[in-house]
Amino acid sequence: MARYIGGRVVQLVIIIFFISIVAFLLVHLLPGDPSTAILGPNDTAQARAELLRQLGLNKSLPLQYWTWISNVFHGNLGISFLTHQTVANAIGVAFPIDLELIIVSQLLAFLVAIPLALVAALRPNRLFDRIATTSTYAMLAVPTFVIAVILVLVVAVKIHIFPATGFNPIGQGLWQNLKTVLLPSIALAVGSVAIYYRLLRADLIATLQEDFITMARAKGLSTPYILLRHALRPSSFALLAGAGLSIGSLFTGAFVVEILFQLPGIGFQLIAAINSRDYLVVQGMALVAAIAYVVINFGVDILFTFLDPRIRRA
Amino acid sequence: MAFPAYLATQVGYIIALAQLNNPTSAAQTMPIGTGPFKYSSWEPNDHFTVVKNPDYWRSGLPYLDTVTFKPIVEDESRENSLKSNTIDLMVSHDPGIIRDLRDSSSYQQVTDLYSTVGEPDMDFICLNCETGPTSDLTVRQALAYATNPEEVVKLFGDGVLTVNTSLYPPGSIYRPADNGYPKFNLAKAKELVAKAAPNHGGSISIQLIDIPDPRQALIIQALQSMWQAAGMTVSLNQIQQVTYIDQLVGGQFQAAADEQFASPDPDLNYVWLSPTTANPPIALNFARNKDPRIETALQQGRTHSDKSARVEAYQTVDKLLAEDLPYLWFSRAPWSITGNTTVQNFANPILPDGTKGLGFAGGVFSPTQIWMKA
Repeated sequence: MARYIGGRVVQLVIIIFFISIVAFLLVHLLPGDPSTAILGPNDTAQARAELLRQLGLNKSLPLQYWTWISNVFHGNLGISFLTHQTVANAIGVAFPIDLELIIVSQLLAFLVAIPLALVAALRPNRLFDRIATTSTYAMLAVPTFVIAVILVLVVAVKIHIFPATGFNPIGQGLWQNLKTVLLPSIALAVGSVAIYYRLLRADLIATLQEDFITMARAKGLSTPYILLRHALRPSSFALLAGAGLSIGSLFTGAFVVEILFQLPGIGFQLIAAINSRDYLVVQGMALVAAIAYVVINFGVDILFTFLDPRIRRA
Repeated sequence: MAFPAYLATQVGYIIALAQLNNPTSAAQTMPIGTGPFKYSSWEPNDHFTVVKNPDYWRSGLPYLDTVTFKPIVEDESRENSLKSNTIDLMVSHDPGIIRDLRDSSSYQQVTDLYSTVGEPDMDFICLNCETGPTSDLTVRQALAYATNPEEVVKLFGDGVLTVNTSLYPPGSIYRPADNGYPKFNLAKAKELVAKAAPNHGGSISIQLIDIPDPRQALIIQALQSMWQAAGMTVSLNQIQQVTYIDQLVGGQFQAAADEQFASPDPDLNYVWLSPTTANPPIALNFARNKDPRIETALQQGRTHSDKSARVEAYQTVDKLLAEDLPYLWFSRAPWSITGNTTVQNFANPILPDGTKGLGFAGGVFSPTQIWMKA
């Protein structure tokens, strides 16, 4: 077990190292002089001197990388030459929004998908299963931005329950915060519900045909008990793998929802920074998003080892 | 004559010495001013909040304790935010949204469509008069004759816009009775294309740039179709706004969909129209039209206090623009500010001497005398 986790940690470090190189080179792949590209209209002698100091652009490429990565380890990702705020501060504002959006949306997705799959798998191809399967097909077919627009028009504009745009930090009160997070979370959760339902349903149907389930039934155990205690865990591997991929991609993939709801998360800030050519912010945000993606998938892999003893033994 | 109007721009802003002398980034992110509100907080891409300035020199003002500005980029999101009571007041530039909110009794709207202070913004195509095929007057004339502004307004004006082929709106004293701007004539356009083509390698190829906006995409597609009908080859390129501005300023374009020229006095447009600002590296006269007669007329407008001399000067500018064709006009680019019924007095500022101030121009308004109805 320890050896397996140790091996995965080494892999993680190597992947993050390569990610850091790509993020570092992002600025150097810009056409022309990187300092001119980064500073744009703010290209003054003072700003240029500050940028040279920050990035060490007058040194060799390996030394520049070393300067940059040392700064990153000290939490210094540079200063935006557009807003004059630190990139770390911008990420500090954006990251918790994504985190909350992902947690709430995935909780909603699991809350809907797991009971649906459990009931549907119990009697496959019956009425409930067919309705649930067809509905999830429809959910998969409707793009997130369409769902988001419908939610805004119905729940925010017509009924006035939730605001149409903006984000209230949790410091302003839990309900005030949830009011701004629920609609975008629902919009993001719909696609996940469809995927999770389908993955879990397929595995549950297979698991429910296993001998140990027959044995449990023969022992007179109740159906809910069999489903929750015996069938759910061995059927959840594909679900977890899907969740890992889905959660990781939400860090940047949620940008459409963030733009529609004006949530200044990582995706939203990244798009704004790209549009305004705020390259140090792009670099910092891309680094954080990529690391978040691989760390979440690493976490999911580790979770597998607890759920499936075969992985530990392999 | 234009001096008071200039004072209301950045030229007239009083900046604190403490801010100018501050070497840290706080100098750029925490402004110190003399206005009715004080800086409170700023979260880039999320909000900018100001609070009442208790030391404001006009006693009793402002009425509001706090104003939060939220940069909601998408017009539809802004409209939905107003309709869901997420925000109280919004600025919009989209004719469809202006129409929707204008026709609703739940909102009150001020636009510069029917009355305006000086000149409103105009929608037009800016042509590069210095390089490429558009540096040829015959090509610019062909483009003007091939463009049907009535059709553009009919397709994209949402019943709000009207055709305007002049620098000035109807009713402006600076607008000549007939500026001589070419009227849509496809046969004439084809004739001019045939005349100009031999000087451009046998065919005329134009690239039209614009920002990535869905409505603008449709407009430039319509223009592409009109220009191609006259025998030109037209490619479209929608680019990010910062790149777009770089290309305008740097002169790396042929034709660009643009909007500009809102100003309370015509002299404030000097910087955009004068041949003296048409030179590299940063040309604010984006079209790079260097007609010395325009400079003479602009100087006449700038240096005369006599109203009739100024009227004559700026009418001459309009006629010369219609002759040189650095701009292909379509319509006015409207601005609106719409609030829910609780927001009061957002377009009726009163100046310290008791006279009425300029209410709303070019999308700019003053929150000093706004109050909220309970």
